[in-house]
Amino acid sequence: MKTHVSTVVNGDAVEFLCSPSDTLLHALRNEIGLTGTKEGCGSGDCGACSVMLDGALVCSCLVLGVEAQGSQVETIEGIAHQDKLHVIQEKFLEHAALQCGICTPGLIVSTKALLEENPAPTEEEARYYLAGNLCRCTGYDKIIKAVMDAADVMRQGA
Amino acid sequence: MSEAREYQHIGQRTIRPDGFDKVTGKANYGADLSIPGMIWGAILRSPHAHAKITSLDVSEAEAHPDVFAVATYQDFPSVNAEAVAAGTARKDLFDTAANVLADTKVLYHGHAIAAVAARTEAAAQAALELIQVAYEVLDPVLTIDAAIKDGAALLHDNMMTQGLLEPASAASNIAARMELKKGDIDLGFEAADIIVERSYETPTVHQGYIEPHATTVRFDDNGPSMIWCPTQGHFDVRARVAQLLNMELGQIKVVASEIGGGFGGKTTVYLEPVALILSKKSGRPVKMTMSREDVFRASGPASASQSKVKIGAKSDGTITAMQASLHYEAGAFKGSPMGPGCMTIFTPYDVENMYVEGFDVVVNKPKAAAYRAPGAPQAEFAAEMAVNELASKLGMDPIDLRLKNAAKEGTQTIYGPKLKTVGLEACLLAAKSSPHYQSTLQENAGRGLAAGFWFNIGGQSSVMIHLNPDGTGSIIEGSPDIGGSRASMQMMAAEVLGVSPSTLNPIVADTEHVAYNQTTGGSRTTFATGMAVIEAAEDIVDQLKARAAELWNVTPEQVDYKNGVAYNLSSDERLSLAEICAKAEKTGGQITGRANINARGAGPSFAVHLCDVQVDPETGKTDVLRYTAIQDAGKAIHPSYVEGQFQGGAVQGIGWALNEEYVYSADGVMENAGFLDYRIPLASDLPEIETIIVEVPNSFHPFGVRGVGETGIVPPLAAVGTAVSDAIGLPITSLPCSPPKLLELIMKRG
Amino acid sequence: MAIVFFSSELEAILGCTQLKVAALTYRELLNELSECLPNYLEANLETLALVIDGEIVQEPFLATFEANSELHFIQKIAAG
Repeated sequence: MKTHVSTVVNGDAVEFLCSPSDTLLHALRNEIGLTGTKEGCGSGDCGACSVMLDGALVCSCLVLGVEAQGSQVETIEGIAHQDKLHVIQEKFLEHAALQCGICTPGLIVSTKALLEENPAPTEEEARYYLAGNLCRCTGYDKIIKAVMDAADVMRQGA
Repeated sequence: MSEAREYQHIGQRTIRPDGFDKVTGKANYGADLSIPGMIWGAILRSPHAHAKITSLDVSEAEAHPDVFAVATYQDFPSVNAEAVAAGTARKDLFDTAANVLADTKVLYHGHAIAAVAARTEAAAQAALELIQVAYEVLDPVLTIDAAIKDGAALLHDNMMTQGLLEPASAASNIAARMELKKGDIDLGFEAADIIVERSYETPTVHQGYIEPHATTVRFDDNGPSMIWCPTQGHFDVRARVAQLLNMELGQIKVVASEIGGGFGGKTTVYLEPVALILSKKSGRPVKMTMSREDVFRASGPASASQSKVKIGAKSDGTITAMQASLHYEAGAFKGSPMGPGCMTIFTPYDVENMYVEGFDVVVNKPKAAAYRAPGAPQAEFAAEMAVNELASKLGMDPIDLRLKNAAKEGTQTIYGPKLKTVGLEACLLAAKSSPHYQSTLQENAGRGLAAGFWFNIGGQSSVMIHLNPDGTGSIIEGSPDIGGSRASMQMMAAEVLGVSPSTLNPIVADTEHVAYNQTTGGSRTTFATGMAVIEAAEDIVDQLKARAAELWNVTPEQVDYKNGVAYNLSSDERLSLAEICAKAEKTGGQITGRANINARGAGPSFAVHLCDVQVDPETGKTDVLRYTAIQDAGKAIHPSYVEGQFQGGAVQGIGWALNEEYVYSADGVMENAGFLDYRIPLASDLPEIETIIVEVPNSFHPFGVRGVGETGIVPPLAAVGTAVSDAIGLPITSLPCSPPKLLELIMKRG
Repeated sequence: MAIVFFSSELEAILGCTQLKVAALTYRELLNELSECLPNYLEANLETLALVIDGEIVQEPFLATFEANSELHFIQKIAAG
């Protein structure tokens, strides 16, 4: 028996059907068709499926699809404004902070959450905040440089 | 060829062409494709590490209304009972087939046995429970020692050791032995004033790519069947599947999706042939994905190893003899990277007398797959730890000891050839003068240094470059881009054509739209596919000159071309690339450049890494305080992505050295098959990874490229291991240096 | 004459460590070796890469070399 869920994803009203055991990740990818949110582990350990749910950073593989009822969900697809990239996205590209790119959507969502909570993180704070987002390619060095640079630019813009 | 020259684009830090899609979530990876009518496949996996399958009954699953198809080993027409009875079975495919779906035995916990395709993912999982399997459970063989001891349970009843001087008389778990020698090892040790001898071991580790294996396929009787998957080599997926299913290459089209990491682990097939069988039987497109747990239990680990190393030297530091005996776990089927381990172990050293023997040993673990410089990290860990111990016993600086014995142009390697120009000495000198090495070590900290070597390879690449009437164009290549290689292809083509890189769109084409390309691996892509791109771009330059000559009514010899502009040498006329393209219609049609090459002359890359650590005596936890990776790139096309390769390799090596290992129960079940318990390095575990790019050009490449992907994972094991040893004042012989292990050492020391 | 060096493994099969050859191409080389080495077939040389003066040639079928070249047969190197 499937449940009807009404929610808002990246500002758009969305409706979908899901089984009680389906995760929000499953609903985003397979029911709504937003595949930018990635599955790396399905157990909340890698952060590739990070999204914002009512302003809170969550692993969408640990949230049930039905929990999105009446909520606001923000995914990687909602971060740029059409072709205008967010500063964080620009800085990831400028600093070559991605290689294969599979962890990138989750990292960008998490970085945005970090900088909303703490616009002036120290490098150590950034490293600990992003410790839930695994990257196997880069060794994190260029990611952290991109995050710190994005924070600088966003503070100047604020 | 590679004299110092000024470049317009090479060496710049451009924005990668696939970047926009990757930061916005638009890029499509392995699990992202769904097609109309698609159903889901799932795999039944072995609950035992070692057992005979005494019966397998899939009838109940087949009869379930949600199930569209079931597949077992018998569905491989190349190797099934029928083919064996008819004498047409392909022996070279037995291992691949039996790894993808077990035949009469299961050889590791998680080994695939059967697959079902059903209406939904959940229905497919549920249907697995309808499959009845009976087992005769056998003793699991989980370590090299257990595998090679007398009376060990055999994984393969007919496996005779290859490479013995006398042919093997009985089956064993040792698949192969190899031996390499140079000079006279006994004389070498006789000439030594000091000898260091020690045994080392490294654990089973996983490549740890964040994207699990996944595929979507559609079997088609009337046209090519389609396989979509993240792979380092879609042409090799095509070849493997074609062989297993007795199909022609032209009957299969493989589309390489964006790939979420591979590191060698995505150079083989797991799901693809199974999904295609399910699709053929059901008449539906089929999607299959691995869970993270499946990835750990049934794909790619890198071999565990045991190594004995003995080094002799004069008291002035001249090394007179180097000897090693190396054992590698192959996992369930033969084929560990023991060979390259033997070949690489002592290559950083110019020493007269060497002897190495290696053994390829099967155990009840998943079949080992390639992992970044396969075989080298395990072997060179042992060699570099011993060399550092030698330096310490001689009271010599470890860089000075290496400089005294460093491999250089003309050094005879143990595997045969003499080295051409290489950058090891340059890396050692750069390390010596680096801010890191010049810095004072923090109190209670330890410092380690190690060198590393990897061959790099060339091989086949095929490229076409099409120009549009407005002068923009596309680069059609066939090397899956695993870390930004499309950016370097764009830059190399732009350099030759003298246009802006952004006007050329690099595309990794499917197997129908470009000729064969060897798998992305061996650090070959920027080197070999880059060479093909350069050749295709040069082909275009020739055509542009000919077209301009037609327009000016002169001969092509009267035309010069540089920086994107053709010059009429007999007048002051000039035409830009875009202008020539705009008139292509008049001069014979549109312009395509092409190159199909088998690249020779890959240049080895040496590296030197420096590491400072601190070990908490209360917990045994190691913190990396400072890390520097120095490596010879030949020529860095895109320095940011070259640094990225150094950093990524270094951090995978740090993980291997400090935390990562497969932990097994006594009955052969991996107990940490998830990212929570198999802990790869996190952002918070690491400092900045400093990099120094050394550029000693490879004379065989037009721009001097060597390839940089793999060498970076070789030095960290010993650099970290030595730093830990230095910090706690005890020898390190076993990786990982995990907190419980270090704590035990510290407690014993008192 | 070019000189071919055999690894210790190949030496165990072929019974020599090095050999001078008149060949100047890979094809001539294999012909010449097949004539003068009794266990030629067991060594499976055609499955190996050829190193010519330090340059690894993974697929040497069309390779040529000089009269004073140093040649080595080695395993083809695959990698991650």
